[in-house]
Amino acid sequence: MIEPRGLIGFALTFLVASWAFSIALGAIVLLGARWLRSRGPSAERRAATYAVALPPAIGLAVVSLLAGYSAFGSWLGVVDHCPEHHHHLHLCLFHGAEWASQGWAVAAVALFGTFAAVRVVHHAATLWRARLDLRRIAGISRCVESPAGEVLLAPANRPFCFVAGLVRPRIFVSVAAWECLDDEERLAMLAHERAHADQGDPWRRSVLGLIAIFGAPLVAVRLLTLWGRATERLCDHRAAALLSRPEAVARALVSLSGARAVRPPRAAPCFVPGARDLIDRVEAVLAGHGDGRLAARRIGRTAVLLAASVIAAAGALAQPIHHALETLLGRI
Amino acid sequence: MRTLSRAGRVFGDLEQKVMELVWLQTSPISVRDVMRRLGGKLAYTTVMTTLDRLYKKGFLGRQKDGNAFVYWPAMTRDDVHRRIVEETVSGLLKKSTAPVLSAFVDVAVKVDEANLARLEQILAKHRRPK
Repeated sequence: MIEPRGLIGFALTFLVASWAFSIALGAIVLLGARWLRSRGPSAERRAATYAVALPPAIGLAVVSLLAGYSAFGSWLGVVDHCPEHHHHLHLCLFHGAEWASQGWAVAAVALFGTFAAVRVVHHAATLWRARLDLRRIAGISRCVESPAGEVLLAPANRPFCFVAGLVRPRIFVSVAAWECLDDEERLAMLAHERAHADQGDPWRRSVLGLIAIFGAPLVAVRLLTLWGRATERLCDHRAAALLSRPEAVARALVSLSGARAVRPPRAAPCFVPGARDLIDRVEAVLAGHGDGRLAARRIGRTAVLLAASVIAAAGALAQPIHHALETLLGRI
Repeated sequence: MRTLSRAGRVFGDLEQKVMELVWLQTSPISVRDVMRRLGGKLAYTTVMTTLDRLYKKGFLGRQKDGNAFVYWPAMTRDDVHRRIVEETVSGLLKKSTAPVLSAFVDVAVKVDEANLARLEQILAKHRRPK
């Protein structure tokens, strides 16, 4: 008979494994950001994707293996030592009742469970609200055909252009943005957004955001930021390649930023958040380097190999890992 | 004639009818006139509250005419559309909803004149024949 209180131990193990791998992979990617940058935006984006997605997957696999070891160990001839070892907690599906008396463990699992549930609900609510907002904008926008496909031209004095929609991404452009660009810049802007839509970026970003809830908090946020910046540069690159005119993309970025420029009071020191990113994007697209597709493939293969090795090792060493964790728990 | 999308719930049903009516007028209209043109089935206070709400939201203008107010549209239909889009997009582009969309130029980024000049310089340098 499975003891539900024993799941507290497995939940904690998942959390610790996921955060540990998140910190380790995050550190590798963030410390190697400059090297990744030199490989190209595809490589950066792929590395960030794996650094966000793999830790919870590895944590879940490790916990599943340990749970499997607990459930089916007797079939493999493993002697059940739980009844004789009363001095420590057990990572066991059948003898984990003691976990309920450990206040720290219950509090940690409850705290994280609540945090994760709130984040998931908030994420879902955000998507729902956005869906309504997009329908509202679409309802009063004019649909125009463009070389990049259907575009929704929204009446607004504020220049903006974005792609949104999880299932059917659509490009929204304000009349102000449409009018402040020349034909070539407009094409570049639309090609950039089309690249986002073709790559399925809205849903990818949404899923990554959901998975990131289970990673180490600060690391996951920084990785998502890195992913976002790399994705923008990748779409700039794709747009430039499509038009064979990197300068058009750069000009579109500058023109649109110029139309939105702020004029701070002269005497006041002005903090300009993120302007450096824009300059980076313009420089990167004009430099005309490769998008790093090959490096991205190599990074993908390495990451999958690493994850498979960790999971295989956890499977092969389930017994010593199980005992090591229990010994550790006995000392807490 | 295009009407505001019901999906977005910009106006309630009655607000929508009242706005459509007010937009058709060439001169200010009183609560009693609105009530009569809506079929006379609604209570005076219901129509008055709706007009008052639209005034407070900035969609209608008003002034006293004797004991009662008369109303006129403070915005054209296009202005209303523009305002709705801008307000909705502002909400959408906030950081909390960032996962939902990818903007060409990050709206959180405020580019000042110095940075803009720097960007222009980069472009000019690139244009210069080598």
